[in-house]
Amino acid sequence: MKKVLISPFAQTLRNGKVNPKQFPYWKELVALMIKTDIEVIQIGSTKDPKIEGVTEFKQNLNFTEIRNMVSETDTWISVDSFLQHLNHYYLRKPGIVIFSQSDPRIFGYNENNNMLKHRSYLRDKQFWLWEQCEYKQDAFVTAEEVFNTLLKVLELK
Amino acid sequence: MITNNVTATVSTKGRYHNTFPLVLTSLANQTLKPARLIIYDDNDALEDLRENEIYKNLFTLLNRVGINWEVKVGARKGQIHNHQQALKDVTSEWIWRLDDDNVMEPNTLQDLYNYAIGDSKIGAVGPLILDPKSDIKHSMASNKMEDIFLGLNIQWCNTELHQFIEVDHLQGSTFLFRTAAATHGYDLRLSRVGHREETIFTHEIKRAGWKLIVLTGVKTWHMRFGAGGIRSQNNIKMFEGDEKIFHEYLKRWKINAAKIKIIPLDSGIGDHYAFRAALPAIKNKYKDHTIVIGACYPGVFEGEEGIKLVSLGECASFVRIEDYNIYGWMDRHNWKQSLSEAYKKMYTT
Repeated sequence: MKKVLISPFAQTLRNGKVNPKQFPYWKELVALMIKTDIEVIQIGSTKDPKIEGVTEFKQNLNFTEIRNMVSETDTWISVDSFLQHLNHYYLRKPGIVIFSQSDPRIFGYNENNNMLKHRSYLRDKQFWLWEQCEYKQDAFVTAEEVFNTLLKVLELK
Repeated sequence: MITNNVTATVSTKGRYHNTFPLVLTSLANQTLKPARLIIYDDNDALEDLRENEIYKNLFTLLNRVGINWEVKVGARKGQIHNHQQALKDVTSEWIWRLDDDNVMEPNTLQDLYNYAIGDSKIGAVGPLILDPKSDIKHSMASNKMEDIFLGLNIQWCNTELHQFIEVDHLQGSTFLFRTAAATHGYDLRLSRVGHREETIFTHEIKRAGWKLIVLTGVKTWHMRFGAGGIRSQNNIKMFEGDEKIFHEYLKRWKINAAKIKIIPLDSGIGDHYAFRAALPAIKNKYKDHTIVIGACYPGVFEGEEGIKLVSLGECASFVRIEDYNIYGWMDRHNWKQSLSEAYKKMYTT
């Protein structure tokens, strides 16, 4: 059975709004993975909600434990957040990073599958605070697109 | 209690009507009082303070508590000339040098003096010199000469611990020193602002074989005031000239003072990792510096050698954190490359 690590959430915004990096289809994506007998391990903080259907939810791991989790799983999926940077620094293990309005050419790494729907969704001010940016659900790829990429990464397709 | 073994001296300028009365008040309220006070009046326009109602009270109070005070006209060439004159004027074994904007807690002289007389090798003792407006606690504060350019010493940090710390120099103008340990005198080449004068003076005491001690349980409050004193000179060239003289001393003393590169990382975990990826290049650029990183997530740097980690808040003691924001930098430079490359470019060019 394949094992996939997911880090679904970017940091909470100070103005209480939804972070524009927040992928809206995690529940659907997890359902597709579970249906295909993929074990899904979610990591996050105690503030993060559990994504429905995940096999296990590990909270508040330290950086060494997260690194070990990346090593032990077959691949990983995250939004544009810390995990891709940690992985790039220590492991460079190919994963999937779901982008929306931030530019993977600046914030991504070549070893990963950087899933950006289209560059037209990139925000003009790439370096401004996320609090200054509106959430756009249509800026994301679908759960099916991420799932299909995952199948290729896992060589199941 | 009064001691004849201590003379208090203070050089004052531009503080008649703001902080100087506070100095005299706190002096009168000491649990151990010096038998003599010499005021060096360095003001260009002298006032007869005996005609001032506040000073009338203060001078009468000093008389009443047993402190013999006198006012001498200062040299008006900067306070070090007055401190030098004090070495000639004072006949007691100890001089308690006061700053004209310091408020000493009542136990200051008693604690400094009692500690100092307990060891015949002690040349000078100093208290904490704390700014009431800023409560500094800093893991890197140091009174070692090698750390002089850090710009942060233990005397400015309120530790709440009663310790007796042997140091390389005293910073802050208020301290008690043994007259016999000060035969080297002050460097009168220094400008009117007297930049680094306490450091030079007290380190020379140490180099002559005496001990310098900071008593962290003794507090003197520094009532910073914009006008008057050395700040009224407002002359950068004087500071620069004094700094040159200080560098001559460092050379003569064979002290290789560490250069410091402060890097505040006011950013997320991922940014910290991107920065760490750029760190080898930054280390190479600053190989003759101590690299100090103010990190929100110090765990990111686990195992990293050759750096000092402090909190982001501690970095604020040295730099304006917002000037080091990587996103602001990328925005200003219309950046198109990776985040790690941005950190590399920002800190190596």
